[in-house]
Amino acid sequence: MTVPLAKTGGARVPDAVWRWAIVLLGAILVGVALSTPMVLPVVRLLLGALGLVFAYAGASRLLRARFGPDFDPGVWLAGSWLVLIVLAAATADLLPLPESLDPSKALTEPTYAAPSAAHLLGTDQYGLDVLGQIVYGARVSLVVGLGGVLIGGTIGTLLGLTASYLRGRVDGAVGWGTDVLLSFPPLVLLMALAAVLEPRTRNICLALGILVIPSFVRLSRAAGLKVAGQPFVLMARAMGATRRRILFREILPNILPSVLSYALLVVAILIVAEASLSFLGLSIQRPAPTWGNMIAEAEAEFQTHPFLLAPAVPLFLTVYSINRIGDFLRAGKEGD
Amino acid sequence: MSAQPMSPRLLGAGLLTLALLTAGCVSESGAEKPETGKIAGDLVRGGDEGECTPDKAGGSVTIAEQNEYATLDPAGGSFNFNPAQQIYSSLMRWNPGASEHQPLLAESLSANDDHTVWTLKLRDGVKFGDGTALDADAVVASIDRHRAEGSLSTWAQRARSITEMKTVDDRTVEFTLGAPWTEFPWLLGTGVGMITNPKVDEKSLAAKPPAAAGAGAFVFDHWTPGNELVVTKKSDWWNGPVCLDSIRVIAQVDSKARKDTFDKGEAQVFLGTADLDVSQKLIDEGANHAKYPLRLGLTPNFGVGEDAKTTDGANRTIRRALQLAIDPELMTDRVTGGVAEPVTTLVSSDSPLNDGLKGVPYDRAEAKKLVDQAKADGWDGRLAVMALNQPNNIAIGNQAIAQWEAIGIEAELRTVELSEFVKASLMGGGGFDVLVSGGGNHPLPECVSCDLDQYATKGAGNRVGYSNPKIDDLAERLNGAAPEQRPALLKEVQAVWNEDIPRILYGQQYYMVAWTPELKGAKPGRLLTIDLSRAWLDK
Amino acid sequence: MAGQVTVAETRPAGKSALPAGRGRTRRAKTARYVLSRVVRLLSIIAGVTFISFFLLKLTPGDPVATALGPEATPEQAARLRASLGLDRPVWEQYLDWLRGVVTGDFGSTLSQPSRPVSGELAARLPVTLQLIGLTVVLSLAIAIPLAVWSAHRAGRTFDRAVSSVLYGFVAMPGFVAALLLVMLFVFHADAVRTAGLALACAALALTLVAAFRARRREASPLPALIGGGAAVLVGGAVYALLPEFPRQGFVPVSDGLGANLTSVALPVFALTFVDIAVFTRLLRGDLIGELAKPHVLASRAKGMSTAHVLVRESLRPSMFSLITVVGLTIGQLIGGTIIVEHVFRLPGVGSLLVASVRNGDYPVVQAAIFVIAAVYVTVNSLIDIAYTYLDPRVRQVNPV
Repeated sequence: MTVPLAKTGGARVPDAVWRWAIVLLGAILVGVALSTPMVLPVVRLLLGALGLVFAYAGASRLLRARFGPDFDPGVWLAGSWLVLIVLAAATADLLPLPESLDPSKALTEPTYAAPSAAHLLGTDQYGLDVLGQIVYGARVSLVVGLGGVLIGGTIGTLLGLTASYLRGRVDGAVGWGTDVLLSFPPLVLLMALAAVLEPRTRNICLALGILVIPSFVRLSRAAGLKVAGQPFVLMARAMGATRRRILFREILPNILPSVLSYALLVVAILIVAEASLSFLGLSIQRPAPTWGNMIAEAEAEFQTHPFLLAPAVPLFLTVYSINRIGDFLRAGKEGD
Repeated sequence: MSAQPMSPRLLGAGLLTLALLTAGCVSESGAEKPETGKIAGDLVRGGDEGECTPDKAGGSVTIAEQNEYATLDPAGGSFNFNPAQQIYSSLMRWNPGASEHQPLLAESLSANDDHTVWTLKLRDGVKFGDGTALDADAVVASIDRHRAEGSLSTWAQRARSITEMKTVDDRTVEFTLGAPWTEFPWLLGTGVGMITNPKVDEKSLAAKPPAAAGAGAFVFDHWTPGNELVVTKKSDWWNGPVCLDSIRVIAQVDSKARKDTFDKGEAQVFLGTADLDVSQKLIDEGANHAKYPLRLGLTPNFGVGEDAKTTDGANRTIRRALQLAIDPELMTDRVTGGVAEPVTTLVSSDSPLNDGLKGVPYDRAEAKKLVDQAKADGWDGRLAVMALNQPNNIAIGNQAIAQWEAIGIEAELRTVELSEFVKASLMGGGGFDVLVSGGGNHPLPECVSCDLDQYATKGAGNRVGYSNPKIDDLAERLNGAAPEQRPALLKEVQAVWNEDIPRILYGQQYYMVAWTPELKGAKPGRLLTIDLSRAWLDK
Repeated sequence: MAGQVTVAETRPAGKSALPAGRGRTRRAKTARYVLSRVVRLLSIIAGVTFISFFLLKLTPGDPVATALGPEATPEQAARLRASLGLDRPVWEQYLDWLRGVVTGDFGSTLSQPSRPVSGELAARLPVTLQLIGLTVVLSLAIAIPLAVWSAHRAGRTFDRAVSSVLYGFVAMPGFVAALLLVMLFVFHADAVRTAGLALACAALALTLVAAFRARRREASPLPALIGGGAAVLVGGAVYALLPEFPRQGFVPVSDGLGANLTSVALPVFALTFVDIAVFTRLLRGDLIGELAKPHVLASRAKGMSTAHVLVRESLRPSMFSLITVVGLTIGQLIGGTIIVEHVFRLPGVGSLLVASVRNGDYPVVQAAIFVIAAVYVTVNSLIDIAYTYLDPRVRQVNPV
């Protein structure tokens, strides 16, 4: 990260004013965009976008002036978004949300309602609250993303690790299996699995988990090979440590950081994959909300009821944030 | 702009915001809720404007269907109605606007007094593509393929109601039926009436019918599955000039995308099925159309194949509870955007067949009572609902389940792909109690007797195993009923229906063929078919 | 599908390495190496088809039912099933299939009317291949300049802006991108034209300002002029030349190149999003590494032009891992165009696969998977082999 050119001393005070002014301008623009329903939507959109850009620019300058030039507000924003979404998903049952899961309890609610105080993002065709569904959908997305990675990552890492240590036939067999799985068109594998297993969260996790095994095998095998040749492993071997001990005490802890930071990126990939599956009608079915199946359902209606597309926003933000943080962590690791 | 380099994250934030706002604020003009239209009123707008003349020639038309069917052989099972209609034409045509069966390739079709013997007279000069005359022998041979043992024809069972065919002369065929059937002309407007050239190898009909195969105005050109099926015009058609150079048929499952295609002018004909609000929007926006009124409902499984006698659908108490618990207003509002008519009668209130029909009223308290009663008799209160994996079917299933759960039923929706769906509804073994399905592919008044025949014990298309002697009797009477007797008979059917609930009803909708007003001289025919042999594009 | 592109970076190149050797021994070893690769390749394809065959047999559903349609009777279904040989044991069916494939016969479709599967595939493959080809070419055409300039300006405004936008690209699921493209280019083409005009004007103004500033600082205004000029051109082209994009469908090249290109343009755009991001990030990283190497620093010190340093000295050696990833991407795209084919109703292999899986048309699914796996494995093997040949260092560094 480069340091902006140092300013001459006299500019200090006007600089702070500048920054505050930008933030203020941004806030005003956003306010205008939100509070003028009669202006053309395109204009409002532009105003809002411009406002947010300004607010962000001003704020990031203020923060950098305060915390130093290396401060990266983008990562902080991404982090807060993830914390928010995880918290919301975890506490969804405790939040004061209108009915958003059971259509039989929403029989008297209006359908396709526009956003209002009762329904902040409106309702869908079942009369269920869209905001509430986004929150519950976050649960599915996160569980599927994390669960898939947990399954695929554990199996894949163990296989790759074993292959890298044992070499020979085991390595060949694992490599062959990996190549077979990789050559299988992923969506067909998912479709077939989805048809064989019932589309429930657990099974989607399983299917996606199987899908990511090969990449973890390759990653951990390569990392394992690198570590296995290092002196401390050779020493442990020379001292007669058991295979299991070498694998799990010596090698695993050393490759774990790179596996974990890769796993974070895979979470993002799986969240998108689940949404894509939902879009094709192959994942968890309505009315159980997932971001993907909400978007798929909204596709036909969004010109009349634009707020139905709202789940696209958390989907985008979550994947964006995960990637952002993942790269930040990797960059940090490399920098050390 | 400040002199400092702009933060790069500005761009990130900008992009983010843009995505956010595009997602949130795309309220475009002209995207209003569809108006609630009539169901059986205004059945047809446009069409039959005249015949093609050589000066109007030119241009080609694209028909956007929902599904790609499997074969071009009229006697080959599920097949492509619209391309086949252009290639073979048909002896008769159901004219939805006039509400009657009219001759198309035929000259006339007349019955004896009790409607057991029908005499078909063919027009002079009707020729197949190779110049062979379409004569009485060709008709008999062609229809025999549908009646044959082991025929895969969709209409096999109905075609077998013809006990004997006799060629009186070259242009006259006499059909003898096993029982009176006043709506026999309907059969000759379906694939049974699409006469194929007996000289042509039957096997070639399915995928590549040669030019000689049909007597229609068009010749099969090519078919690339997943992309398009194209027919091109006959340069010297026996029935006069053909204006359209070619007709392309494409299939697009998603109705919204199909409408986009139509709106963009990439297709001139639109076939609308399950998504009623999309269809109604097209009508609101001025498309010409022919509507085919159909019932909306869910089908209980009465037990076919392996499911016999094990399903809850076969229990009348439960069936009644399921029907009583459904609020038609709510269902139609939530499933079709309020476009369908919320009734539980057999036909819509504006149908000419409706002579004061009264359906089952919505009564949740009564439904609850029945559920308790069924549970007391040993029912576990669980219900398996099966739906095809399509957004519309899933929505219907979920909405119905929502209302059934409100009366204390534990219902679960299972979504399946087409192959499994058809298999389960065909051969049983699906283990489901209620089926979300179109079930009832005979729009009224196109063929009233065919509609009820689906509920007759041995009727064609009765696939859920329903059996009720009273309905059997009424179906037989409808077969022989004159048009003016039908409303009264339907009233009797409704009475039995309300008591026994062969199907859980909640509304009346329609399927639709829509076409742009620039397409003149189109002839809408039976359910979702349109004959373009004499049509032209207005420039 | 998003796929597992990122792994490529950590993927070891050739599995069995080629030790340095001379003359005959070397040729023999090379032959053995290629042979072993071919055997492995075949065994992988066999494995894939084996799994898919039994997986498909497990799926519920009945191709016969689909073929006959919802109006059929059980008797009709039983008759058709027997005539298709579907009442025989699964093993027998698989072996039959395998025997057929060896003799180049993929069988016929189960869905009626029965057609040769090879014909079905041959009709679909060109569409998918065109999509893939254009996607890769377009992605590279955008990614390489972006990456080169980002690496040159690493950490500066341009670099950070690009990487921010790329994060956005990666976060945009393919179907959302496709829907947005349809909404913008098909239904609001006017808005896009206006945006193009606005972009051109803004870029022009900014370029002029930047150029003047550079003049005043006595720096070369060339970079600003080139970058800004490109933006102005793109914007202007969008305004003046934006064609009508169809909502759906595929037009073969035989019906006119223009119509063909507009019919695949939006699907290709939707596919490029992720690839641009992947390519750019990868190449940028490699380039930054390369730029820090002594020989590059030396030629810089010698006063070589920026263009020479960037393109001649750094880009070439950095292309290796890019080529690998491009290969992987091609392999993944061949099965990964399903969503755009679905949204834009393109008759490619992907939509054929989805339809066939849903209809339970096993011969078609089998053949398609066979082709996809074959392409994937072949492309990867070729790249591995090429890699070992092109970069002698790999042979020595490569583990195992």
